[in-house]
Amino acid sequence: MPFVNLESSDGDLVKVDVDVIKCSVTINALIEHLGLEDDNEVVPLQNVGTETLHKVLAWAKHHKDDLPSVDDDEDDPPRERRTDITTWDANFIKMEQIQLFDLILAANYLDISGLLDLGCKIVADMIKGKTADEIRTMFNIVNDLTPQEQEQIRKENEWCEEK
Amino acid sequence: MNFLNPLTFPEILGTIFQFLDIQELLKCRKVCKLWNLETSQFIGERKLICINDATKLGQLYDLINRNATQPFRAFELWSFPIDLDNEQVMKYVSTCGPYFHHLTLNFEKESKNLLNIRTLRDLLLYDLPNLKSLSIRQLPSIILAQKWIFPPEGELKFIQPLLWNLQTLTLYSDEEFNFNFISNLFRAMVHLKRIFVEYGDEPKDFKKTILAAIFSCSAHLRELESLQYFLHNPGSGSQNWAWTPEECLKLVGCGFLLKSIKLHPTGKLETRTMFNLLEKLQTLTTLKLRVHDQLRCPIMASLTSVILYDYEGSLVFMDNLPNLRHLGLCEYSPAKFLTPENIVSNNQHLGLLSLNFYGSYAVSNHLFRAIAKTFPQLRILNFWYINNEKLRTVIENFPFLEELTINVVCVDDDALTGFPLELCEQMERMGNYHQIMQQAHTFPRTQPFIGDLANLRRLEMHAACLADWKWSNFSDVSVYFGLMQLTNLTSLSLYEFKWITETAIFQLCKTLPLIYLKLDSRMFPETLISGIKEIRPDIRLETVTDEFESYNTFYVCMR
Repeated sequence: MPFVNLESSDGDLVKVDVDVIKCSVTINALIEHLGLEDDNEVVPLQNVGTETLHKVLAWAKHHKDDLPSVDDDEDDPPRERRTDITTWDANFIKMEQIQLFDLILAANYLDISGLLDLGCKIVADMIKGKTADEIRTMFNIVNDLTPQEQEQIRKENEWCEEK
Repeated sequence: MNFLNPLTFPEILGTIFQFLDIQELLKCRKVCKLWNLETSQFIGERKLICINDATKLGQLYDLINRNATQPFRAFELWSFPIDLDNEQVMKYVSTCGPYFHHLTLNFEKESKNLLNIRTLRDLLLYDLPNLKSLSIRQLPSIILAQKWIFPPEGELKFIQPLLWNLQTLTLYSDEEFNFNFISNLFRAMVHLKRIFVEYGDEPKDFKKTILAAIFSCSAHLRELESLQYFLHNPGSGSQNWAWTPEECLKLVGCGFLLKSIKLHPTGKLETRTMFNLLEKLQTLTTLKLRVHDQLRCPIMASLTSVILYDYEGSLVFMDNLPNLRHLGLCEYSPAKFLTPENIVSNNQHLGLLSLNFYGSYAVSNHLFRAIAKTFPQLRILNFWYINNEKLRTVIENFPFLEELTINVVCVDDDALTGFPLELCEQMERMGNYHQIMQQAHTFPRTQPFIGDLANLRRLEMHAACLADWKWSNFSDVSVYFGLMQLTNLTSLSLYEFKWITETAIFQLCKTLPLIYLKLDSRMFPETLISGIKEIRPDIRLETVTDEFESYNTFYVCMR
């Protein structure tokens, strides 16, 4: 079975079954471009730390044999996507916010849509029911909206709620 | 160590915002500049804004003029005078127009003075440059009587093509549409990808008119991917809305590379004609048909989703659909001659992941059993009118089921728990489930029970239908010895259950790894919600509301 060596940003090498990491569009493309046939080739991942890489791999391993999901009907109107997740995923994703953020960044960089969706569902759930102030504090976001812009948003929101 | 904040990446924010509803999105706008920018696409796609007088248009103008961060993109113009000779209105329209990406026109038929053909033409040609979808719900008779909306071909001063960005057109049936008007509309929409035809007024000759227009403009509609023609006319006979064999074959002759189609061929349509029609539509991925008689399919490799309405034939056609992932059988009512031996072939369909039996109460227990055996990989099931026997069939045949929606549940505690009915009744009389659970291991389950669906993560159950207000006998026994054994359940919705108590729900919340819970608050005392929040503050809790109404209005507009 073919393997590939991934090098984390901390310089650690992790040997991975290609079959497990095929969910990553980025790594798939790298393997194809670099033509890695030799088991000793190394794929450097400058944006993923060792700890996060191990998490990504644990997720990828668990979901290795997933069937492709049933597509939503493209003729349906846009609507919010359902956010339910599996128990395994729910347990997997229980982590500190800083680790969650690293994981989301890694999923985005490695282009693993299932894992990115999972992380984003968790963040979406954290956002639900909170005020804008609470969201900024929770995620350490600076409010760079000018008072004029804030007033504008308030007016627009109010206007669209009118019957 | 990574110091980047993922919530500053537009593509990550985009993924997060997909999972939020409109109210949450409106709130997220207030977080920071980037969030304000990134939410606009999602708000614009989902929030329909009705403009029913010039004052409202004036307010929109004021908002846009102040600072153009305005995120709204979907508008309905509803019966108010639009007079482009009026300087004020002209100013409003030309400033707001570029923000209109989705437009619904809804003008009363008698309203002569609200909108005229010249205004409509000018709007579409000059004032709404970004229009992606147009929905014509109703127009004044005086406009529909016109021969054309855009200048006829050959008029040099107009440069074709006209509506460059328009990809979706929705028309509501109305006999007043004439051929020239519709073809004129089609010819201006060279990048049209989707045509939706909905039921509006009594169609009469509407079908003939619109089909003639589609056929005669086929050379212009080169990019058409999806044609969705309404299936159901609640009014008169079928000749005015169902497609004749000739019409079906003519569609094939147009040479469209259709990916998705929805239509109702007339009952007289011969099997051979249907076969020929499908054989020519090899690009289809989604097929929605209202057919009664036996469907025969050629081999169609790209087809992944089939939905049949009012079908009465067998499912043997599936043998020719190697990549089918979703099968919908709405109001399926198998003909009398169908038996467990001939309703399906001996082949198993390992690729089928999702099955929807919407409204199919007429499928007998033994036919369902035969069908169920052929889909061993099923992950998602939506089932109507379930009884004890059918529930057992589901449990025994779909071991990988992850999502189950059952409507009109007429099941008893024994079907959910696998215990003999007498034992269930005995337990119910005793009532002290805590104590019973301690000795649960001594009770033999003699039948399959819902806990056998080890992968189930989403369960939605509706106990009653409005037409026939029957209550399920499903009680706390099923909650303790059925639902509570679903160790992977993260999402649960219970509607209209009369015999379930608050205590059982609390226990459920303590036991299951629930992330989402939806309950019919009419069935429980007010203390339920606060009680759950105390036990499991992390559960996302919703109560049943009339959510469908607002959704449906928007559904039609957006397409």
